[in-house]
Amino acid sequence: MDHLTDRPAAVGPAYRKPFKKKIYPYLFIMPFAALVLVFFVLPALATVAMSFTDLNASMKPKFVGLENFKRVFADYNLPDILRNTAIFAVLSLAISLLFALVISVATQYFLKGKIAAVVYRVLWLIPSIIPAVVYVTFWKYLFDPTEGGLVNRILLQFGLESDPVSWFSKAAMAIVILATVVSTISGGMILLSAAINSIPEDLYKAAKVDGASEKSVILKIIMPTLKWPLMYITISELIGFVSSYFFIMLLTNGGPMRDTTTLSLYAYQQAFNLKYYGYGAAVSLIVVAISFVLTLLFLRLFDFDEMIKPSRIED
Amino acid sequence: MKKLVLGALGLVLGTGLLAGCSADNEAAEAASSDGKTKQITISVRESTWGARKDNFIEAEKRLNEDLKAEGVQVKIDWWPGIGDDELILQAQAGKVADIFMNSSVDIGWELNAGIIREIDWVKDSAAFKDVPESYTDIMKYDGHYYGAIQDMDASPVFISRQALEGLGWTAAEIDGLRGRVDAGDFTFGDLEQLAEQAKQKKLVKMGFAVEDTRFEGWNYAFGNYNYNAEQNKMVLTGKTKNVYDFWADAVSRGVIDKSIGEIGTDKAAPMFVKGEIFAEFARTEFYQLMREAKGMQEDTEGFDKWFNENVVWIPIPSAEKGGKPVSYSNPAMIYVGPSVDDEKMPYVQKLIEHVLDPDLQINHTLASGKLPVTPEAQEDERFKKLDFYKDHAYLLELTRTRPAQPDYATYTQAYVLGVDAILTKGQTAEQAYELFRKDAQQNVPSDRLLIEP
Repeated sequence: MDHLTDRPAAVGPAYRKPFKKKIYPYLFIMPFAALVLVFFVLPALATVAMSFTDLNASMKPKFVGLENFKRVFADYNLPDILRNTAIFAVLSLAISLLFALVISVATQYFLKGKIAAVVYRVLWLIPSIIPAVVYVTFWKYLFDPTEGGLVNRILLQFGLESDPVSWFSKAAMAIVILATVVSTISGGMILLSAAINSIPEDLYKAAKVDGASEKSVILKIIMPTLKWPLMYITISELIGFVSSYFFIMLLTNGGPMRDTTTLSLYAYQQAFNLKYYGYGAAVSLIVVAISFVLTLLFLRLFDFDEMIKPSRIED
Repeated sequence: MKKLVLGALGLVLGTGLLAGCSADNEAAEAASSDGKTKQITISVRESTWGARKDNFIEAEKRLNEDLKAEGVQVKIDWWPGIGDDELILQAQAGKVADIFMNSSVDIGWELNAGIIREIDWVKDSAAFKDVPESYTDIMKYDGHYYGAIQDMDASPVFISRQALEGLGWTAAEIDGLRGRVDAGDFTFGDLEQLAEQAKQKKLVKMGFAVEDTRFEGWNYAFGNYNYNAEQNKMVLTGKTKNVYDFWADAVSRGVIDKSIGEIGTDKAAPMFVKGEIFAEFARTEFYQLMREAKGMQEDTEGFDKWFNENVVWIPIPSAEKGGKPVSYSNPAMIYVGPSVDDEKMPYVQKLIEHVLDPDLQINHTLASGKLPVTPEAQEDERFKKLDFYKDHAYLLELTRTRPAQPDYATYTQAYVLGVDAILTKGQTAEQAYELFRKDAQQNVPSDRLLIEP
């Protein structure tokens, strides 16, 4: 052993990566970082800066400190708008998650490998690939307040109503949620279906051999697999719903009165319809803050730390 | 690899740079190839709606004929029409066109944003010398002329003749209705009552319908103008309660349907031609929309015949006996950008004046259904043959436009909120007014709002 220990340690300069190799990753990242900077970071910073000014159509901003934020919290519409935002986001999320889950389990477990399952999933994809304006036109046609509306026509034809119903006056929020949910289900459905598909077939077979019921398979095998996809879908869709305004704007423009005005639509209306850019920016920052808090909350609820912890082989 | 990375980097950055910058290829003046003719380039930003683009192109030709002797030629650089937001952003980037169009209501904010300049030559221009004073008021703001009126419309009330006949009116009574409205003998309340009767007798499905949410005609009928021109402020007045009273009353009597704000003219026109609406409150273009709904775009005479047999139109009657009827409009104005200097302005002026040549105005009327703005244009033979347009052109004397006050949209939003409260929540006129007052006071800057008892 001596000859080994006595041998002088290998000497020579430590390996140093050549500069050009060190720079490669940064060069790869740089174009996209530049795009992110120009199209995400700078607009975000501009929005923050704008929210402390009274910027309007005159484009002569004056620093007003926290005035816009004080105005937001003194706005008599705020409680109603926050309530609308909560109703819209929570119901849209709950319904779309539930449907995505049911469809995924049905098509990827019960009907696995059947052509009907594929067709069914493709059908659910259609609403999400239709351009928003066309999609909204369809819903407007469906609930048109005149006899020309499909729902009214059916009701009148079957004698269920004597006069056309003004659906957007009576049930605007329900229509908005329905239209939103139908177009967003597919996103969750794809992720959940992929997750279910990744479960080894052997597990199902073993469960069957052990006499497990379908309910047990779903609850004990499928559902645990879906925890992380569900976390991702919940957080991303919730942020999407809290900050979404496009469908609502096209369908009801926040009406009747402000019954379907969510916080992000209110921010849009203040900034782009009324040209109070400073105030609109302040409202939009409140939307960002709410989204941020909700994200943290759900990360904790889903035990995100557990997911990112490195896997450990038991002793 | 290095080359690949640098290539990709260069491509992305290069594309960005190319997108962000453009060559300064819009030199306003350039000597032509023969070295003798001076060329002036005038950028014009507008959509192609109606005959707007065609008229500018024709005006360019006519102006160049005029300028031949001076050795100057004008060339239009046509930019596509854009919305207000893009207009603001492009102004920030120094890309305001020399000439562009927008609504008359936009003068206030456009001036504040520095994207228009004064065009006081309008005062002495032969093209505008005979326009009514009300037009001059629209073109002026803060003591200067800032816009040149491009087209105009009025807002007749289109009434179903069949419904009136169903109510027992004779042809003579129907034909005499407009005269009674003009004389202040037939009031807004009378019209509401007729609509209620027609609805009760099931002669129609809807009493009143209105173009989009342009409720200003009903405000004007009640003498509620909401604007103080001297102080350039919106006015919060108790008179609005009277209008809300009408709304609440009309809803309870079934004259106004809850979905009135959702039934735009595109839906109302087919319903009206089928005789389902008693009275449609819309602007001049509704005549054109009815023609389309009847599928008679090419058959002007045939449609006129149908129109005369089935429709009668009146100005919006005053709510008070003996009062003057009213009409409203949202005319388009031609604006001049701030980059036009005094040297270029004469050419810009001449171009705009040619756009307002009588025959070109009528070309636009025929294509768009809008009214011409100068009396000379109304003398055009083609216009005289258009019975409906010719006959209702007198409404322009009664026509008011929305104020150019920058907070008008905010104020109107508050007003419509009150209307919505009556329509969809069954609130009283008093409650609607309180809501309107609260919203307007919160959102319209206090230095731009006049509060009257």
